[in-house]
Amino acid sequence: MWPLSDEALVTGLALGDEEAATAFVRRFQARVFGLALTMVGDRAVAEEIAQETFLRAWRHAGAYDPRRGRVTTWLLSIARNVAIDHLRMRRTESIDPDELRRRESAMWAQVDAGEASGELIDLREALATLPAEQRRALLLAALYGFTAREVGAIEGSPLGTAKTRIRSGLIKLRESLEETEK
Amino acid sequence: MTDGPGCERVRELAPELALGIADGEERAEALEHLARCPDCRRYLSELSASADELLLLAPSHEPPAGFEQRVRAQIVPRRGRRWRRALAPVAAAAAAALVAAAGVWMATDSDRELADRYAETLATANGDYFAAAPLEGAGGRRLGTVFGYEGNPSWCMVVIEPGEGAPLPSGTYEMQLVTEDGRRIPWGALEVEDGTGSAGHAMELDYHELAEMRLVDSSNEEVAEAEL
Repeated sequence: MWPLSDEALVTGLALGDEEAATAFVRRFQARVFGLALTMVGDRAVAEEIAQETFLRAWRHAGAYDPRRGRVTTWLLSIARNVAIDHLRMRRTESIDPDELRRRESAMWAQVDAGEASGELIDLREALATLPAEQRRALLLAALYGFTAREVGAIEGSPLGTAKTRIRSGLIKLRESLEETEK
Repeated sequence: MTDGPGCERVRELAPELALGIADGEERAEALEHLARCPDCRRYLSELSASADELLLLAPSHEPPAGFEQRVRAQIVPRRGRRWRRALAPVAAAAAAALVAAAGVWMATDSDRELADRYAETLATANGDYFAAAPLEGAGGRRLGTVFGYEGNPSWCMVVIEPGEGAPLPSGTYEMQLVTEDGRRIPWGALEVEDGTGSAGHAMELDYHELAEMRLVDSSNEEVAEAEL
C-alpha cells in the first residue's frame, strides 16, 4: 500500500478514492474498533459503531482540519460521539462494576505495556499528576461515555461532586499537556 | 461578546461538552453562546483537544473478520475502472492535490472545501459519483460536455455549447450511449440551434457501465463523441 501520511489518506477519502479509503480503514480499524469495544463492551455493537465511524469519516473527510488535531484523534472523537449516541439510547442505569473494572484494567495493561510509546507516555504522566478521584471520574467520562450523573452514581458521590471532579480533572490535564509541549 | 454571565456558565459546561457527555439542554444552551463568543469557542477547542487525547488510551482490538470489506461496501462507491480519468472538473483541483501528496500533506483549505462540497453534494442526492467528459467533433474540436451521475436515480445529459471551432450545425441529432460491453443504446433526440442545445434523462444503467456517448446526424453519420 502507498506510504502516504494519515493526512494524505484523509484527502483521498474526501475525494472518494478507493485505494485511499482501503488504506485508511486498514490503518485505523483496530483503533476505532478498540475504542468502540471499550465504550460499549459488546463486539457486535462495537462493530456497528466502528462501521458508522468510518462512514461519517468518509462523509466529513473534507472538513478535517490538521491544525485542530491529528487524524487519529479526529477519527477517534467521531467514534466516541457515535458510541455516546448509542449509549444514550441503550444504556440502563445498572452498570456492572466487575465489567467496568475488567475494561479499565485492560486499558491500563496496555498503557503499562507501553504499547504505543511516545504519545501515551506524555498522557500517562499528565494523568499521574491528577488526584485519583479526578482521574477516575475523568476516565469514566472520556473513555466510557458516562455522564456526570452516572459517574456520581458509580462513585457514590453527589452530582455536583462528580461534575467538579470531571471539570477539574480535564482542566488540569490540559495544563499538564501544555507544560509538556513547552 | 467575550465577557458577561454567559461566558462563566459556558466555561463551567465546557469540560462536559468537550468530553461529549453534556445533555441536550446544556449543549443547546452553550451552543447559543458559543456561536457569538470566539473566546469561549477557543477555550472549548483547547479542552476538546485534551479530551480527545484521552481516547488514545483505549486498547486497540482487531475487528471481526470481514470488517474491512463491510466498511468498504458502504463507503466506496461502485465505480468503474476509469474513476480517475473521468473525475469531474469540479473535483479536479482537489484530485491534483492528492496526486501531489505522495507522502506529503499538500492540499490547501480551498481544495479540502471543494472536496467536502463534492462529498456533501453526493450525499444529499444519494449519489456515488458525478462525472463530466468533453464532447468532441472532428479534429478534436470541443462541441459540448456530457454529464453523468451515478445515484438514485442515475442520469446522463448532453450540453452543446459553441466552442472555438466551427459549431455543430443546427438540426436534430440522435444521442447514442455505448456500454463497456459494446451495447449501443439510443438515448433520444437532441435539437441544436445556433450551436447550443441540451438533452438528457434518468437511466436504469449505472454510469460506470458506460464507455461512450455518440451523436449521429440524420444520415446516421457520427459527428461527435465523448469518452465517459
